[in-house]
Amino acid sequence: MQYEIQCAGSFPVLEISLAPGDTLVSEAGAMAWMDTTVDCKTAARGGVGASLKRGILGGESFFQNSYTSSTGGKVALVPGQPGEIRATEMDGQKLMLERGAYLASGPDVTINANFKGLKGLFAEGMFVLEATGSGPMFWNGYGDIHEVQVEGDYIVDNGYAVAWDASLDYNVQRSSKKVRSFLFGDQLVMRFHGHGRVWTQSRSPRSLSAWVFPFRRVKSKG
Amino acid sequence: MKTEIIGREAFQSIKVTLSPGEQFVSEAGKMVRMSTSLTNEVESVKKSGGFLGGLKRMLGGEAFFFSRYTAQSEGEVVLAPTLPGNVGFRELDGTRGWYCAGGSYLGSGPEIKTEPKWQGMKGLFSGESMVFIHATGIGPLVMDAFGTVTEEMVDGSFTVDTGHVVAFEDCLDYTISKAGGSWFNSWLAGEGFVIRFSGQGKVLVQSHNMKEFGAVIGPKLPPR
Repeated sequence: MQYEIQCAGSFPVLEISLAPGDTLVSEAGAMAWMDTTVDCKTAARGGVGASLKRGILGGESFFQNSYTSSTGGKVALVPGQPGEIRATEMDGQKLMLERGAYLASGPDVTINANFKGLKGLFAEGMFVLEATGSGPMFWNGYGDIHEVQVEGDYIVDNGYAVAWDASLDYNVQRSSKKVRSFLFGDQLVMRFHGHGRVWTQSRSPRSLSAWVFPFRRVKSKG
Repeated sequence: MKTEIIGREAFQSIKVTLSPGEQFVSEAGKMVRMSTSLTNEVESVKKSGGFLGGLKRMLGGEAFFFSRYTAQSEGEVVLAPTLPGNVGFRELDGTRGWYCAGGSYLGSGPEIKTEPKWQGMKGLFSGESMVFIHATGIGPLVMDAFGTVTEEMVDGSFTVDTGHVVAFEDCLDYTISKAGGSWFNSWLAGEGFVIRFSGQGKVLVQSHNMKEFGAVIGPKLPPR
């Protein structure tokens, strides 16, 4: 399996060249275009309970696509939000990803949905994925991705952290940001602790949705 | 204090590095990340100069709180706009101030005084934020923008759609008016309102119009 991040810049596209026998797994909806020699199958992510699909994911379907090709072919993947795509060669380490950051991976990479039990704290939920295994793993951010080397403590606004080394602890704290937002999640920050890297994105889909919110049409009464 | 615009053109953000004791001020809620050696205190506009009373209710979504970051020891804070595009940046030297229009104020150094200036009823009909932030003093001034930011030199007169104005020097005279026709007809038809500048000075304009983008996306969501 070969890969190339094309149009590198602000609107990159991930192009994978599948050889016969290769398998690529991706987030549902990521496929932009592909050769007709590539087969795409959609399946529910293994081990996900029905309760997850209903409540916490807020109606999002939790499916993965898998791509194979008996004769070889290319498939291009793009994340929902425009922004940097990163490729990490997994080799036994553990990487944590914010749910929206996962794009695609090879067959020997395991992605575990690990919902951090914060349900009692806020309805939105913080969905974290654990990536382990070996092989290529592709992830993305909204906007640019910046790396921060944490030695001690570091604060990242909720909605801006896309990935971090599993060696880092973190907790979610309330912060008196007084942001006018319909999303309670906007009042939270993540405080990382320990030694490791955290990757942040330079825009937040959450902030964008809070910004769009007032532009909705007002329902007429009566 | 060091201010640095980081990232690619389409998704810029600003990184402020502070030495012990130094401060930086931003609109509340714009923080992306920061060192724990900085404290973040939220102040209301009352403390920063000028209590607007009932006016606050009409602000239409604009956060009117400031975050004040103080470094206990060396540290950094990164701020970012909400929409894609550049960050506007000017280093004020005290000779003239800038008006940040339509909610574009993002942050500034502690020696910069920020005064909200209400644009009156014209501002209300224009659909843009009614409050301009008048920034005076010495130090860095950072602005939010949508798209690319370019500087226009006004020499005589210049007309800009209100949604495309990021900021302008306070030596310029300006009026807010509609592009043509009657006030109410223009408003109902969604015709653009314009700022007509006269005199000599600089205007920062942005390539894209936030209100227009909101009008594209907003109606596609369920009504509220």
